[in-house]
Amino acid sequence: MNKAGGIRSAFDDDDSESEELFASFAPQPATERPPADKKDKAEKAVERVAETSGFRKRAKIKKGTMRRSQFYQTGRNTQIAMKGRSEDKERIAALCNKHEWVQGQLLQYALDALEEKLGDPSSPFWSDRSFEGVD
Amino acid sequence: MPVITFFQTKGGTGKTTSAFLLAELLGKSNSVTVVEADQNEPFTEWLKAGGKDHGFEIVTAFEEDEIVQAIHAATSKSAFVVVDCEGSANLTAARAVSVSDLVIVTSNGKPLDQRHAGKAIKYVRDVSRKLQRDIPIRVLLTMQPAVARSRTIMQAENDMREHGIHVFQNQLIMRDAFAAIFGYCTTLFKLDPKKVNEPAKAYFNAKVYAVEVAKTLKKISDDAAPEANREIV
Repeated sequence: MNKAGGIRSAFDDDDSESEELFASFAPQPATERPPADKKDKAEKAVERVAETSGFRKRAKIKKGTMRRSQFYQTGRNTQIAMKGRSEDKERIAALCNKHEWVQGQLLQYALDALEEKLGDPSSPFWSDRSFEGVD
Repeated sequence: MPVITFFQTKGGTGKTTSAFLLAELLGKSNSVTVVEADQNEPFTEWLKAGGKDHGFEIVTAFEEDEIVQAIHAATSKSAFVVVDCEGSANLTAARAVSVSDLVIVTSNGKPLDQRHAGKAIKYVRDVSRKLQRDIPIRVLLTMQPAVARSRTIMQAENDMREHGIHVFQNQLIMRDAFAAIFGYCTTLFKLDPKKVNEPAKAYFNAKVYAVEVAKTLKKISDDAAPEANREIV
């Protein structure tokens, strides 16, 4: 529709009109900054109004200090339930306390160590252990 | 040269989207600098995520002691300076307002946005009085339904007009294309119609809004004769 509410003419060239309008603005010629005392006065006036209106200085965001999610960092996000001997449970707790590990951490290290041992079946470690499922 | 500041003390009212659209449309015919005063850095993130060919420059100024300098530097470089403030009552935004030629307050017209718009407008008027310099304010209604406007919004608009607050005739319609700019990290003009609904309609909406802003700026500069001495804060 045109401005008068009728059907828009097919010969209207609104695009060039708006482009002309946009292009009619120009950057400001470089100007001298006002003297410091005048600037300070205006600055203080704005600050006073801002303060009474409840505008505050923002707390600065410290980059790189945000704590990432524990799950994302460790990948330990699965519950593992298992039956074991009570003395082994105590050993887990004791090792974790001693080294300040969480239990998931201990499990990871224990598995790494086990895989290393499995790579060497001739190790004396296996002399009193059975591969039959019961040790 | 004119400094257009998008100002609202509440977040999520459409400041950044409106600022982006205006900068993109004006940038097609003239030089534009966007001063990013929002610590969430939506423009910088858009760039980092692959945004390009936007036709305007982006500078960041988050701190209250750098914002005025940044705006001042941009005015001598670009024909338009668009300032995107953070949606909170912060001093950086407060200072940006004091050196603006036009303050655009965004609101979706609902009561919560309106309350904050009221707070923002009151602040601009107070600063205007204090500096004895007219800082024109316009309210831009954003995220408006394409059809069937609600009574709440119509009441809000009437309420503003009754209180002598100028509201832009054109509103930004709630369109998928506007959100997709930041989703696909592209410009409105380059949105793929296969991926986004009706980008052409969104473009037309943005265009009429940008034209109204430019006409408003023209009228303001014509009315402000002889040229007022702007206080640099």
